[in-house]
Amino acid sequence: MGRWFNLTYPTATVLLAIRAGHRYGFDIMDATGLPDGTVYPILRRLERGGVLEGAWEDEARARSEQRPRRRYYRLTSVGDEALGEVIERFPALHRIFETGTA
Amino acid sequence: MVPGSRIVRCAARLVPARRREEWRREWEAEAAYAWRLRGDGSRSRLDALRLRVRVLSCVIDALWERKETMTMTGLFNDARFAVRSLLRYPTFTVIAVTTLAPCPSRTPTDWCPCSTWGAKDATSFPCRTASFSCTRSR
Repeated sequence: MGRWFNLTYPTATVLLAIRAGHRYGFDIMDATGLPDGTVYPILRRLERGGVLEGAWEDEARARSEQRPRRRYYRLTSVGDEALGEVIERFPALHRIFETGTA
Repeated sequence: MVPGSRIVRCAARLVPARRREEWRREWEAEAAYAWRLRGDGSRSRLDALRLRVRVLSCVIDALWERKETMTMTGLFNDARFAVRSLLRYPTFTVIAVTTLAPCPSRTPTDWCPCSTWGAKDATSFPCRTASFSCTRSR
């Protein structure tokens, strides 16, 4: 099945960051080093395309830390498929997230 | 008050109403978490400024949401597609415009619609009444 979105470098970076365990918006910004205004539109687009799934974190945890609930993102099965292509097309980027070195 | 919350509230006005509440909650939660990480005692003015700068990116996100909603609207999408197609195929554009443009005839009542019969794919085309009579008489 054809991909509906362009697999650009920033998109690939966001997908790899989420796979590496950075699931919240600001965490993804920090992990990717992308300009702040870039990350959220990518997240929205990927979520609408079914590549990512957004959900609100557990209320008890947020309450215990006296803060509002954050929204986190995780890969769907479509996202896992897209990730295979990311690894194939951006091997150096994948190595950075795997080992911390290019 | 968490730095940047006012920016989020202002930017939320740009977000389409059906998405606004959730969008605002997400950004406020991120800002609150980031502010909490700084620790109560060690927060400086510079930290507050940094957080505000980061939160400013929510304006781009809000504009993106707005644009996306407009794009999803069928009419806007159709118009955009039509313009793109016409620009991509100029020959087709010329043919379409000359075919569909209003008839320059001074007596539009001279024109009548004609159709082909018998064939599998019946077609309809405009024809001058005089030409039709001439063709029919053959």
